[in-house]
Amino acid sequence: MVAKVLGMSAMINIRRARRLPIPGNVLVHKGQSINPEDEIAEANVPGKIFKLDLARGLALPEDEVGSCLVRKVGEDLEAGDIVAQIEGTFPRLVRTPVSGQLVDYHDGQAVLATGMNRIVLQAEMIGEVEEVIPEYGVVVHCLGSLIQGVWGNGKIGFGELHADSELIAKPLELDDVDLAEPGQILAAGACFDPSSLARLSEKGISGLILGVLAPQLLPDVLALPFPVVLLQGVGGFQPDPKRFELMTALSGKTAFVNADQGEVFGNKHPEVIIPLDEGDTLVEEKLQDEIAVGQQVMMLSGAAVGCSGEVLELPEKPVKFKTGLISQSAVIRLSAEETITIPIQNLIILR
Amino acid sequence: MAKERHYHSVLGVDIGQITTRSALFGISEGKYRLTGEGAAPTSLGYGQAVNVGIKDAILDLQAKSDGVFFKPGDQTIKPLSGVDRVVWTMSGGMRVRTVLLGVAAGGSIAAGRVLADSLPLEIVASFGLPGLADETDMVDRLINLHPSLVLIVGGEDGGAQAPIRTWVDIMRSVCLLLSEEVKPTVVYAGNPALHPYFRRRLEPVTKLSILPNLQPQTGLLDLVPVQRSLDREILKNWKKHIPGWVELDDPLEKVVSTTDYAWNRMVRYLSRTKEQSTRSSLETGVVALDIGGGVTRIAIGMQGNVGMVSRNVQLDQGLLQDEDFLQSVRQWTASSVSTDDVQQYLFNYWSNPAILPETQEELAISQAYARVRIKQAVEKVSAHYGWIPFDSVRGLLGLFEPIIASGAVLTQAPSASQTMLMILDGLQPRGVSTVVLDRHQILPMLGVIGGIEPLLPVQLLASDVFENLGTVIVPESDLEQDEIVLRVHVEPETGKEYSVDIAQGELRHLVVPAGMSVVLTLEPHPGTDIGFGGPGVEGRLTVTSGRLGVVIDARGRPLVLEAEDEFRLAQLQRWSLAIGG
Repeated sequence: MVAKVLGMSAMINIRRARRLPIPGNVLVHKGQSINPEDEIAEANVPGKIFKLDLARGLALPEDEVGSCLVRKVGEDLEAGDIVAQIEGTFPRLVRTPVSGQLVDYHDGQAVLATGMNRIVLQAEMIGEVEEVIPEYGVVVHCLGSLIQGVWGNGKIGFGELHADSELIAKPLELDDVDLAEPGQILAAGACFDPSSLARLSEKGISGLILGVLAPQLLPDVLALPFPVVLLQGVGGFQPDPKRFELMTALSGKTAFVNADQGEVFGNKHPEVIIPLDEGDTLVEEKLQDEIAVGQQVMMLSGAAVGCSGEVLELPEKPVKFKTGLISQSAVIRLSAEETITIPIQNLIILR
Repeated sequence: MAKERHYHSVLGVDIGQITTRSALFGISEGKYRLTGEGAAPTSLGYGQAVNVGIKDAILDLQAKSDGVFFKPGDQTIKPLSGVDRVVWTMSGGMRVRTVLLGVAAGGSIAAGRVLADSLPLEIVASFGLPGLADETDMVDRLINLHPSLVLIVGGEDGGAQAPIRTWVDIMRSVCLLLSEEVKPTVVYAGNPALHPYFRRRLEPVTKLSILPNLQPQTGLLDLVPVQRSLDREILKNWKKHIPGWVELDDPLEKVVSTTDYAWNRMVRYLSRTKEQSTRSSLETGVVALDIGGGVTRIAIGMQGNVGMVSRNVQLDQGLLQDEDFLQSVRQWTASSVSTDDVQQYLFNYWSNPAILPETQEELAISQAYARVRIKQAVEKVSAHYGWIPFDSVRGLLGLFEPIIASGAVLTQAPSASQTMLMILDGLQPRGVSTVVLDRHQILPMLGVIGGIEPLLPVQLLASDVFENLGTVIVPESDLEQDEIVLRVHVEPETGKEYSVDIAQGELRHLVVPAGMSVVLTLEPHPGTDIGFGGPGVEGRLTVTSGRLGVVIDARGRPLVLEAEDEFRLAQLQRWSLAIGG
């Protein structure tokens, strides 16, 4: 059976496509190094329309104005340019009071686009432009560690990763916050205290990676100016140090946090990327995979929600659970002493 | 005269947000029957192609049946061997980004929202008359919203034209300013006097679809033709954006539909059938409920009218901090849980709608949430469609039979009694009804098949493809708690006759073997209404028993939960035990 994959790799090829919603110009080139805040593409859509009542200006019926136009649709006009005129003994004319492009003429009225709506696409990713998607954007490639979470507050940021094993093993307290430095990406096991979040904001950190968050703090986290990624979920359960192992080993490196989780059914996850120059095992990213014995997985529900473990066994026959539900299941080793059986739907592969 | 062609086998596929289901319909003993079904996870989203999940669902069907639809090495879905036709319904696609333009907030804009809520559309913004105050600003706002669809409504037949003309001019400017590939499709469903203006102004600059007036007169909504056309527009949008969709195309274009529209169509058919068979002045109809992992859907059909709302479960995410909502879920949870527990479970559920409840607490929260989803859906559909008999305190009025239930939360509950209680508590029906389950999501498939083989849905509906869960009798009375409100005399097909007295506040389950025919004589107290024409009116009916036999729900309407947690839990557990646990 297939399950979704949540990235947790020491060394992986990470590729992310960034696209404008409408066609425009790509501002970077293949091979160029980019940072999250870099503008990589832009689209300029004419806008700020201005209507010029030619029929009124010429004192003519609407259907007679068309023959008096002296400029064509699509032409750029300067303020003061004549748009329409009547020659003869008593000539009359209409000038445009504003500069712009003549985009339309109808029923005695001219429509000018006098400005631009600029739509900018930021990189929101760290790495190198691997491919240019003409008119739309780029595919960015980065080699490094990837740690994905289950929820994010939609922000992005980057800074020096601070992942201390003591902070990861327990809920965040005010004293811990005092140790954080401005600009850092801080990793902590859990947060159940709103005052810690407020203090972190005052300290000017660049991002927060948490295992667990108290559900009532979700609005506070959404309001924070920096990205927050949850690796395990919301609740009152224990942080799982295994989810932070990669980060503690890379503490001090630059980390990029994209806490945009996309749509529920969109297969996107909030993520932490730590660019690296070299590493031992290089794997390719997968969005989903066949569940297999030996894989690392995380529980999405049940008593062990947010915990990670190893797939020990995949029973062939569906299992009946205490609730009476019958489902294909997996036997998971959470620790040397504890194994559980859970429905495969409730697993996500860590890879 | 051309000979009528009948298909010997039709394959239906419904692509849900979580599960793709397949069903094979064939002829057995001269009649269409369901001959096999399969399911597989839906393959939608970043990096996936929808045809993968479809193929897996058909392969699952192949493994469970005698059919061979794929030859070894087949890479594509079509052509499938062994089937005459394939029909597709889909609810898993992204809702289409739509901007709604109209006149009055309570008039055309509200009507547009009713329409949008019946289809997979996402209204990203709506603008009425105030939006026309600054055309320059409005053009820029519409450009920045980059909708795929712009729905213009408003203007009764023969009514004022000026505001809509201005919307046309604004949309013309928007379309002139945008490049070809991102121009929205404009759909107009308003005053027909403006059709020539729309054609002259918008047809040269974008794709335009002109439909009959959504609201030809104040208070009169004519949704069907607009829904049909928008269904096609949504499918065109999905075709452009969903990888693997191209394989589902059929030159006849009659075999693909959104699940919402196909479902709506079947409920309309059922309500018309009911209208023809009911010779009563009572307000009667049918209800279909779909409480799936990703979508909540309700359709109420009466006299050929259908009121429907369809809502993505993920839209409820905004309710995670809503104390009233959390309390309402907690109140219906038949287990001792805190608001935090409810928040935690719902957060996980909304993040991963495919998860199954593992613990008793999770199951109780999940089923409580199902009750709240049904209640919310009833309130919304009743608010949208004024002809649905509904009272904000008493709930859904009128008599609805059958009640068709689908969606994993209802059809995959561990016991039939849990399913029945979720429906009874959420919907709170009245009178006498039958609850049937659509386990394989066949209803929407029949909605599409009806267009190519009308006989098939008719014969399927008369078969046992929908599982009879049980007959429900709801006596309503003003009598005091524990007073006798109804006597039921039971004459089984075989076995001894007996009578039972039902007390006010009681939930009772009469065990009758599934499939057995039983004659019920209902003798209500003079102050009790069982939906036969008023208080005290007796009745006699023959029913075929479902899995749960006959359920008599004398708990009153609306249901009232005990205020204290301890008593409320006991109350919920007592109700659960009363119909089999």
